[in-house]
Amino acid sequence: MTVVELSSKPPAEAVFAGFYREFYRPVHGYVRSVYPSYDADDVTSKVFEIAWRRFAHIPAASQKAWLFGVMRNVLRNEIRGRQRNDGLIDSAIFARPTATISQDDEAVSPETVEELVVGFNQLRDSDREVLLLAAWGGLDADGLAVTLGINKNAATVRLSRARQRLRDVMDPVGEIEKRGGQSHDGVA
Amino acid sequence: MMEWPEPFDLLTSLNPIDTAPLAAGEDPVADAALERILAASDDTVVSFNERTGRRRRWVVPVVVVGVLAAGGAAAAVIARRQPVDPFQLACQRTPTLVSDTYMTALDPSRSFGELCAAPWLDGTFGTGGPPALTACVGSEGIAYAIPGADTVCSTLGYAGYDPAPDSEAQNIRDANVAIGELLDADPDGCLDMETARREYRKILDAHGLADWVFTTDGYVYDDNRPCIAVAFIREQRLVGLPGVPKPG
Repeated sequence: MTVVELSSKPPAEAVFAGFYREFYRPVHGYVRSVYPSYDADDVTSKVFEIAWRRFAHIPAASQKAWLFGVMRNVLRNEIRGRQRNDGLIDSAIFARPTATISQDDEAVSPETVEELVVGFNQLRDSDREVLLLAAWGGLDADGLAVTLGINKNAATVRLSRARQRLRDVMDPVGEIEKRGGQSHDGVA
Repeated sequence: MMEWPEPFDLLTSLNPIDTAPLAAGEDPVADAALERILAASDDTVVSFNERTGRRRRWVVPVVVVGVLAAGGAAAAVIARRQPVDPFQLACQRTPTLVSDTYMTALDPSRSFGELCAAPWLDGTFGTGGPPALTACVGSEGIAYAIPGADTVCSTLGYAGYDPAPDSEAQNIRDANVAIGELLDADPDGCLDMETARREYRKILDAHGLADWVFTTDGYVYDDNRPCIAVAFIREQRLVGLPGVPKPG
């Protein structure tokens, strides 16, 4: 007689596969778009290798933010690997995450996008990082806190200040506010 | 002039990232990576830092024997030195030579607990914040922050961290920031070799590094890597000029 064990719990591999398919594109797309000089396939694979080994410990409420935190660490290790291979410190590369901004929205003029790119590139690395994690990574204050390893209040303040600095470099005379532009610095 | 009411909203509207869940069979590269990950055992799925740790594992018995033999002296006098690498801090998870390690930027104006807090909060090492950390310097000249008391450095064969101001390290960090700002200010974020040599020289001279010499040995500089970055090689007082791809 064959005894078949039945379980209502799906195997961990199947659960992880679902998790992987849900978050693959956000992680891969973020690396490819924000850190174009790195191999997005390789970095994403390393992020999910770590996620698989620590799958039981990933906080359920902040899975994507946790993955983005791992992604930051993996990218740091990639930098360190380059340094070790070269015997050198490529700190300038490390210090300058870049953003590829493309224009698909016809309602926005190329000049406006150009202004944004110029203004954005004038910001410090830390400002650009928090802006992109929020704008392109889709992280709210709780998520930013998890990814950046800071508390929620600090994440809110950091994003708010980065948004203000972006506003300042793009609009030093305050035209946006004069024309009734709204500022939504509060994040959930 | 801006046509959009809020720059952050404009940035958000330009988000190029597709976040839709991936269907099985939709992306062969992603599927293959998933198969590799699931097929890997604990021994084959290793992070970069664990690979480093494995290489070091052979050193452990030698170090332990040495410390045991000199235990009394080590407890009384902790040799201290300053890190050679002015940029990096290695935050260790455990007081061992095979620890997971989180690399972050070395910043003498902040405590090691602050600098290493992230992995102890985001779940990489833990979520309850960093334990008491002791700063050490490894034989390769990198600063480490390791859980444990003062004696942990000598136990692992490291020197203690000398907190005295290291003006040259600060000059290197400041020069690096200045070069980063120079690149940020460039419309393309890309300097050719001639411009980089000229502008980097000015920055080095202004930061007390006038005797450092440029080198291009071992670097690629061609049409695919037309932008000149910078690499500080402190032991030889050299500034490497590696070619890198254009940003974006």
